[in-house]
Amino acid sequence: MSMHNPLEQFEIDVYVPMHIGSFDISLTNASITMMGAVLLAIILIWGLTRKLKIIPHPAQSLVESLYYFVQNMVESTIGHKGLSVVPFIFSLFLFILFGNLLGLFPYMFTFTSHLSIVGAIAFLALIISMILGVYHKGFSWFHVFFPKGVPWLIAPIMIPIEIISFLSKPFSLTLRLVMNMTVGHIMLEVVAGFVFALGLAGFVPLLFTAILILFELFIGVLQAYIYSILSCIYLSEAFEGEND
Amino acid sequence: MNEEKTQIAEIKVQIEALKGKLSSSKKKSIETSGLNLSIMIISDLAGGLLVGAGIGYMLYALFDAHLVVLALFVLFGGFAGLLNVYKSISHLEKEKHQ
Repeated sequence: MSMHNPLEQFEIDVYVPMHIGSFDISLTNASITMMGAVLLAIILIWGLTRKLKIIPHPAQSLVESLYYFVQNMVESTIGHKGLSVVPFIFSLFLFILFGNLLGLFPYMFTFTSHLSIVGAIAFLALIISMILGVYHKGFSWFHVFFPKGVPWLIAPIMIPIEIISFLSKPFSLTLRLVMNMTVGHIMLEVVAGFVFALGLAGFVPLLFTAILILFELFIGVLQAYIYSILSCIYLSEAFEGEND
Repeated sequence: MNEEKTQIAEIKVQIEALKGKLSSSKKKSIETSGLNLSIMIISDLAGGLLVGAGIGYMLYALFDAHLVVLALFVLFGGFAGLLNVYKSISHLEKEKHQ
């Protein structure tokens, strides 16, 4: 009896090969799912907020509550000055959320389980944090790496550690989401593999798979929230001291 | 007219009560489960080590630096990872006490 490889679901399949010079811009299962997530988010937001009313209908209030949820999250983490990053955090939250949820559908690809994709978003947050930091505080932002009042004697040790600590935040952010998604999907695939293998007794793993899918739905939403709030904490360094 | 005013006052009281409920539920920590906490610590440590080792390797391979530089940056990376764990845990503690 051949066993299905649970890691096969993370393999990238090229559907339409395309190249621009040495750049590979082929349409793959990952890129198609990513476009699907973006399209779904646009259709949902656009579709539900087409006829805006002062007293919102249930669909409009769903989108509004989602936006206010992200806005409150940003305000409580960064402060009032951080409201300028709400559109970025909201887009990030929706992209990760739809990525996590779409990955649970059959034949869909979980792009949030790939280091390169999640890493690119975390790297974007790093760049934005640096730009906003320098924009708001000028060169005094570099005191993040060597706070005022610290003796100069420990500078050769402290500065490299602080720089590495700053640069490693996107890595830990990425690893956290990727590990959660990968572990969850491997567990789902392994348990689902027992449904047919056990014959009549397969209803036990089938029930367990159903429970796991519900759990993964919860994890998908929670991880999107955690990723967004950690990005907020990350971006808050750029605004520190601004709200005083 | 008076009835309307009392209705509005009642609604205001209800809104305030709901706001109170919302703020108390918001204060719950996001990373309190064992699995989340362990993944957080592992990713923070691994992130620091990876970046430290990466910088050290770049200096070693591209600029022909001494092997000690690579070892030093791995060490710095380990300390940076520990610093990140400390920062994350302090943030969680702060969140818990708020």
